[in-house]
Parts: sequence; structure tokens; C-alpha cells
Amino acid sequence: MRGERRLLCIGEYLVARACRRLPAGTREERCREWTAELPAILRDPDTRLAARRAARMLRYAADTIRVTALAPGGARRLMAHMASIAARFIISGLVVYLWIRPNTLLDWLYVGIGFCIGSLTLFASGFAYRRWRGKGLGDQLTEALEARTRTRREAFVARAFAGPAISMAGRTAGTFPRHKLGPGYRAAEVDELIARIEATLSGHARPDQAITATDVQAAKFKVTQHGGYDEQAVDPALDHYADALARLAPFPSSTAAGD
Amino acid sequence: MTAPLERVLRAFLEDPAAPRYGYDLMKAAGMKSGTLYPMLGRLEDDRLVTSAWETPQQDGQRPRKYYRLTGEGIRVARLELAQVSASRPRALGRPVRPARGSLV
Repeated sequence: MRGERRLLCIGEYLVARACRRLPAGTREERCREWTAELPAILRDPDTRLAARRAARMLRYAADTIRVTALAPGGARRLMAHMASIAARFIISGLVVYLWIRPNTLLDWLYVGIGFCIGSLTLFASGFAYRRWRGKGLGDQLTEALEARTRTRREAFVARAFAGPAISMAGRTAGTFPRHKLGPGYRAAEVDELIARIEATLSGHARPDQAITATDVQAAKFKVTQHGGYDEQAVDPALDHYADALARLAPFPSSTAAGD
Repeated sequence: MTAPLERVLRAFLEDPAAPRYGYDLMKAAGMKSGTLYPMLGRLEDDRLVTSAWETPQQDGQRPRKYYRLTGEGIRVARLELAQVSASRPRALGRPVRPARGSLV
């Protein structure tokens, strides 16, 4: 694809910008991961149009910046970054204003020009400093801020979200919707089967408890006329369980499941 | 469970043994990178997903990082999705599965 090199350069620049805002521990790895995805997106065989592939790649790269805002301390880092940009504009504007003390329209024009030149100079010198020293002037301050936020955030997260990303609460027996009136599966039998499946899946089953996918598929329950489990909730769940059991043995050897 | 998480888990479960790249998952789940990566990070922290680097190829391509559900991850994802589909209102007139045959 023509201009691929240049497009990749833009993408890599965006990713590098995003990574600069990540905490130091994960920065290196994330940066490598994202940069490696870029050429893969550009050469994605599923997307026919080259322009669309390019747009996807750039959107991917640009959106990684959003990730960094969600990383611990990222929001504060972003704010510090914005503040440093705003500070440059304000400083150059203030200096030029105090220097010229505009009265006439022409003076104001000069202030405008001076403001543009001044901010450009400040940005250029900041950029040059970063190239020269390898880091920016405010980096240390941002690092310190980030470290403080991280400890605070970690404590908060530990308190508020102590538990897995998916809550496992109420995932075991006894949670299926019941039919008050009308036929349903007898709850005790379903619960017992689910308990056996759970035990098998977690690897703590006694020999007489262990169950296979075929057993689950062939399972039958007695019908009760009130208070039984809704069969339309139980059946799909059992299908998923059977599927999980069927895959239990070969996992994690990927060769068996791969072909 | 949020809708994006559900889509990611479904994408993973299409073939639990296959290695999935970040971009693959983005396409399969219709998500942006800014949403997907934090989610993968959280799943990884909970040990539901593992990641590994490709072995470097000869053609000078950078190795990519791929993600895969762990054994525990597969189990949890299946149960979660089963629960979600069970709690969703079903289309009317769907026949009761004859295989289990207790209710007619």
C-alpha cells in the first residue's frame, strides 16, 4: 500500500504520545503491544478498501490516548498536561500585553502577532528541551502527582471493588426463576445436578459426584405444578454447562481444541 | 454485566482456545481500543484472561500480543452468559427442548 510507511509513522507517533501518559510500570509493554497492532490493521485482509484500513489504524492509534486517561492517575496527568499547554499561552499573552500596553487598534494587532510568536517560541523551546534531555520540564511534578493519586486510587479500588470483574454472586444453585403456577422442573433435582456440575468444573468433585457433558444433556427432571424452575431458564444454562464440561478435559492443550 | 463486556466474552467464547489479538477483539465486539484495553486489563488482573507474546517471525514483523481465556475464565464466562440469556425475555412460542422431554 502506498504511503504505508508514512501512515505508520503517524500512528506510532500517536501511540507514543498515549504511552507517555501511562504509568511507568506498564508503559513499555503497552507501547510495544499497540505499535505491533498498527501494521496488522493496515494489512487486515478482511477490510477491502485501503482508505478504510488506514482510517481504522489511525482511529485505533488515536483512541489509545483515551486508555491512558483511564489508567491510575491518568486523569490527573491529562489535566497537568492541559495546564502546561494553557500556561504557555497565558504567559506569552501576559508578557506581550505588559510590554506593549496597547491603546490603539494597531497596538492590539501587535499584541496578537506577539502572542502568536511568543506561544510558538515557548512550545518550540519545550519541544527542544524534551528532545535534548529526554524528558519535559514538568515531568517530575506529574510523576509525583501520579504516584499520589495511584496510592489513593488503589486504596479506593480495594475498598469499593473487592471482587472479580464479573460478580459470581448468585451464580450457583437456587437462582433460577420459578413458575408459581404451571409446570416447572423440580427445584431440588436441578439444584443437585448443578451442584455436581459445579463440583466437577472446579475440580473438587468426589468420584461419585463427577459428571460428564453427556450426563447433563441426558438429564431429566420430575415436573412439579407449582414452584418449579422455569425450564426456559434452566435448559440454556445446562447447555452452557454441558459445553463447559465437554471442553474441560482437553483444556488447556490448545492442539486438541485447535483442530 | 455490561453490554461491552458481554460482547467481549462472546467473542472470546467463539473459540476459547484460539489466540485473539486486540484488533480482532475490537472488530468482533465492535468496540474502540480505548474501551477494550482497560477491560482486558481488568480481566487479566482477575486471572480470567491471560496474554502472551507471539514468537518473533522471520519477516521482520513486530511480535503481537494475544489474549486467551483461562480455564477459570471460560467457566465464569459461560456461566455469566448463561445467566444473561436466562434473564432475558424470550421470544414467544419457543418450543421446549424435546431432548430433556420432561415438559410437554
